[in-house]
Amino acid sequence: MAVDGQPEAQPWGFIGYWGQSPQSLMGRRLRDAIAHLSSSSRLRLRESSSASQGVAWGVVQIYNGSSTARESSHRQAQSQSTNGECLGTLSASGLGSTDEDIWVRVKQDGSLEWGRTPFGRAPLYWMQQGSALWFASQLRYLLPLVELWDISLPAFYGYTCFSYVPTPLTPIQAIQAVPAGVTQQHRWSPQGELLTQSHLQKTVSDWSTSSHQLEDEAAAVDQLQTLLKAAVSRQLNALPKGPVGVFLSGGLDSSVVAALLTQAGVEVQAYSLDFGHEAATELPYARQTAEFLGIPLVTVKAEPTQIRAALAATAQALDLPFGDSVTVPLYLLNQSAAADTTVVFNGENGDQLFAGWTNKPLITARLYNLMSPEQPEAFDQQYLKTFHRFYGYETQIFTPPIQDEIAALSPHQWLQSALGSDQDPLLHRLRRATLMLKGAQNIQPRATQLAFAHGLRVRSPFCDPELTRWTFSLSSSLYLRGTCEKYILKRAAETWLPPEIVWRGKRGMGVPLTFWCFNQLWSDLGRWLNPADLRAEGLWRAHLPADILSGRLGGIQGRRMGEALWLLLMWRQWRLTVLGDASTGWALDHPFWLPRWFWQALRRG
Amino acid sequence: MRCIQCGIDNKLRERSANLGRCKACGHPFAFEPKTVSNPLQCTDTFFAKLIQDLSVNNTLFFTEKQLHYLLNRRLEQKANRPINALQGTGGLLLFLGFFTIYSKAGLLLIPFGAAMWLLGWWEKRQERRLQPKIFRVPHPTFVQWLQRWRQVNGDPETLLPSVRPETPSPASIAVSPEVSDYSFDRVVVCQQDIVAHLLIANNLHFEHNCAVISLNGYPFGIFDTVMEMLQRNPNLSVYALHDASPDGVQLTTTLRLSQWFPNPNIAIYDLGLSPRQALAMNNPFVLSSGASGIRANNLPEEIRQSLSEEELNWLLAGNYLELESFGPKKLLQVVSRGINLNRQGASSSNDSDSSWGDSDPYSDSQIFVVSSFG
Repeated sequence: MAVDGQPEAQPWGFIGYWGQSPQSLMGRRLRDAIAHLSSSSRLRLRESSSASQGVAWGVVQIYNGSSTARESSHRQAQSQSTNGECLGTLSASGLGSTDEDIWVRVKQDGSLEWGRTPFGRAPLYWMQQGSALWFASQLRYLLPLVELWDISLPAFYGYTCFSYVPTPLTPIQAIQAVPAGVTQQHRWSPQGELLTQSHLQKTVSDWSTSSHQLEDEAAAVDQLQTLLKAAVSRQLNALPKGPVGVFLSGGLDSSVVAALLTQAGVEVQAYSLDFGHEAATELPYARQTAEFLGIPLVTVKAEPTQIRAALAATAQALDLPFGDSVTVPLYLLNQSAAADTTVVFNGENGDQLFAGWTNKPLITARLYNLMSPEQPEAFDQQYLKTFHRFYGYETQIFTPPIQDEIAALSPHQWLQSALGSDQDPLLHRLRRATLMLKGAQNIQPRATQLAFAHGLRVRSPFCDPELTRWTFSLSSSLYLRGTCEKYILKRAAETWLPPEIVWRGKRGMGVPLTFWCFNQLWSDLGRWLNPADLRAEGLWRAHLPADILSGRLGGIQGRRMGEALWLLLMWRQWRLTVLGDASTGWALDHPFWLPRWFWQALRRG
Repeated sequence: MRCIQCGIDNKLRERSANLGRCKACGHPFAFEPKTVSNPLQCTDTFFAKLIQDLSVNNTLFFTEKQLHYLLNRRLEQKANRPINALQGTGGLLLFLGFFTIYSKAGLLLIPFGAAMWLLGWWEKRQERRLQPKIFRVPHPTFVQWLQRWRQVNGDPETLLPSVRPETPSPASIAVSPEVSDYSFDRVVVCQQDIVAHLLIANNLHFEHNCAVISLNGYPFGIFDTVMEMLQRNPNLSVYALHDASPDGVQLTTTLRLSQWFPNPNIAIYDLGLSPRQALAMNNPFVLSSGASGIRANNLPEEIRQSLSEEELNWLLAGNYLELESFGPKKLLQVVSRGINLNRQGASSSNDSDSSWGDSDPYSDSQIFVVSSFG
C-alpha cells in the first residue's frame, strides 16, 4: 500500500482567461468574479498571470484552506510542463498529474488547449466575451461575468429528457461545457477571430469493438481479476492517514471495490444509506458485505427530515441541475464520510462497464420491435426511452410558448455521437453509449461535485482506461447470460465476496420518493413548487406538480411520479441556490395545503 | 354545442345554417345532438373528452372496446337518477325533522329519515353491484359513431388497431442471436391478444424487462422465440392476466400445462380479475350472456372446487367482467403493482386483490433508480 504522509496539495477548482483584451481589464474582471470566493475562510486563492505576443492569460487556482505544504511546488510542476504552460488542471481523485480529469494549457505555438478525460469526472466550462475566452471548473465561477444571462432552452429541454444537461450545453446560454473525451484547441486569427478545433481523444476511439473477441470464460475471469486489482492499485497513492471511505450500497460494484481495497491492506470505513422502513432497502446486503470483509460500516440516515434539510445544499453543491433522486442521499453520504476521511472510493461505472441491468429493456425492445417490421422504432428512440423522464410529455409539461420554441429541437441529436454504428454488437454499443451519456454526463460529474463540496477526493476504480479498453475485447455472451447481467464480473468476484452478494439480482437503490411526496413531504411541495414561482418562471405549466401526482401524465405512474417531481424540484432548487432567484410569491391554487387524504377523497368523489 | 377545433359555441340554427359546420372555423361537427337518430345526445365535446380521459391526454394507447365501455359508463352516469325513492323520502323526513326539531315528532323524524336515506343508499349500491349492465349504445351503433368521428377528426392518435393474426405473418420472424441468447426476468400472459397488444403498445415490456404474450400465441411472429427465451430462465415469474369469466378463471391452471410452464419452481401469480373481486367492486361493468353461463356450467371440477359458492353462482348466471372494461391506466397500474410487489418479496397471489379496488395506488412507490453508487 502506498501512503504518502504529506500529500501534494491539489487545487479544487480554477477560473481564468486567455485572450487579446488588455490584461489589466481582464485581471480586474477576474478578481471581481472571484470576490465572493475570497471572502470564504475555507478557501485560499492563488492568482498568476502572464502575457506574450499580444495574448494575455490569468488564472486563479482555488485551494482548500487546510492545504499548505507543497502547494507552490505543485504550481511549479504545472508550469514546467513540456506541453506548454499549464493554466489549470483538476484531478477528482487527488492523484494529480497521473490522473488529471481536466486541463487548460497554453501551447508552445501560442494556442490554447483544454480538454476533459472520457469518464467526465470533472466538468470544464467556457465562454467567449469579445476577444477573451474565460474558462472555469465550476459554472458558478463564470456566472458573475455574464451580465445578463438567459436560460438556454435546448439545455432546459435536454434536462427534462435526461435529468442532466447534455454537453456541450449548459443551462446558461452564454456558457458552454467541454464534452468528456474531447480536446479543443483555440487560436486567434490575424483578423481577431477565434478559431477552434475539437477532436475526440484516442481513449474514446478505443471504446469500440475489437476485432478479436475473447470467448474463453476462464481466461476472461483471470484477466479481469488482474485488471481489477491493477485498477485499484493505481488509485492507492496519496492516501490520507487513517481510513479511506467506501460508499457501499450492497450491490456488486461497490462490494468489489471494498473487497479489493481490503485485500490491498487499506484501512477502510464503509458508508451506507438507510432510507427508513418504507424503502426496499439494500442495507442488509451492505451489512453482510461489511461483516464478511471485516470492515466497519457507518449507516447514514436519509429520511424526509434529512432530505429536507440537505436539499438546497445539494443543489448548490451540484452546480448544474441534476434531476436524479439519488443526489440528496449521496450528498448525505459524503457529508458523513467527510467527518472521518478525505478520500472516498465508490463503485461508479461498474454498471456502465459490465452491462448492468439497464441494458435488458433495450434487448426486450429490440425483440418486440420486430413485431412491426414496416415501422420499426429507431434505436436512438428506444435508447431515449430508457431515461424515463419527460420526453414525449412536452405538451403536458411546458407552457405553450416554450412548446413552440422547442418544437424544432430533437433530443436524439444529443445521443448520436455516443450511440455509434449499427455494425457493432448490440451490447458493446449500449455499453459505449451508457459510458458516454449516463456515466460521463451524469453519474461521474455529480459524484465529484458532491465529494468536492465536502472536501473529499473521490476515486472510482471502474473508471480505468485500461480496464475499459479490455471490456470491448470481450464477447457479448460473457456480459449477459440468460437473465444474469454482469456475468463476467460476478464470475471474477465470486471468490472475493459471499455468493448472496455476487449472484443476487440487481435492484438498485430504493429511494421511496413517491411515498414521501404523498406523505412527509406533501406540504413541502406546495412551498418548493408553488404555482406562483412556476408561473413567474414561465417554463413549466403552473399546475404540473399536481398533474403528476394526479396521474394525468399517462405513463408516469407509481414510482415514476416521484422521479418526475424530483426532476422539477431540483431544477427549481438550482435556480434558487446557484442563480440566486428569489421566490416570487405565494399562490394557493395547488392541493398541497390540503391534507393529502382529503385531496385524494375529493378526486375520487 | 362547442366546436372542438376553435371552442366557439354554435346554436342549433347556426349549425343548421352552416350545414353542420362551425360558424367560426368551418370545422364539421361529427354529432348532432338534436336529431332523432341521436337520442342519447352525444356531442363532439363529450366524445373528445372520452378519448382524452381514456388516453390520459394522449399519452396512453387504448382499445376500441375500452372506448365503447367508457362511453356507456359515462352515459349510464348521466342517465342514473341521483337518488332513489327511499333516499328521497328519507331526505324529506330529515328536512321536516330539522324544522320541527324542538318537538317530539321532529326528534323521531330525524333518525327515521336518516335510516331511510341510508337504506336507499345501500339499495342503490347493491343494485349497481349485482345487476349486469347493458350497453346503452350497442356495439354496431358505437362503430358507426367512431367511424363518423374518424371521418371528421381523423384517427384518435392513441387508438390501437385491432389485432389481426395474419399480420405480420404467422410464421416466425428471424431473431438475431444477440437478442435471442438472453432471457426475461418475468412474463405476463394475457387471456386475450388485444390486452397483450395494449400492454406492449404502452411499453410495459420495456418498463419491466418483461415478456408479454397471449394465450393464443400473440405476438405471432416472435412468439416461439419468446417462449424459447423464457424456457432459459428457471426462476421465471409468470403473471396471469384475465377476465372474470369462465375462461378467465382457468388461465392459471392452463399455464401449468406441459406446453406452458410445468416446472413447479416457476411461480405463477394471478393478476387477473376473479368473480370474487367483481362481486366486491363498486359498480363494475358486469355483462351477462347465456353462452357464458353455459361455459360456466362446463367448468372442470378442479376449477369449480377453487371457487366459492357465490362466485360459482355468479358465473353460472352468465355474468362476466372483462379487463377491457377498465382503462389502460388502471390495467398498467395493476400489472406494475403486481410485479413490483413481487420484486419486493410479496409472495401471496392475494397481493394483487386490492389493486383492482380503490386501494392507494402509490404504496408501491419505491424508485429503483438506474444508477446507484455501485
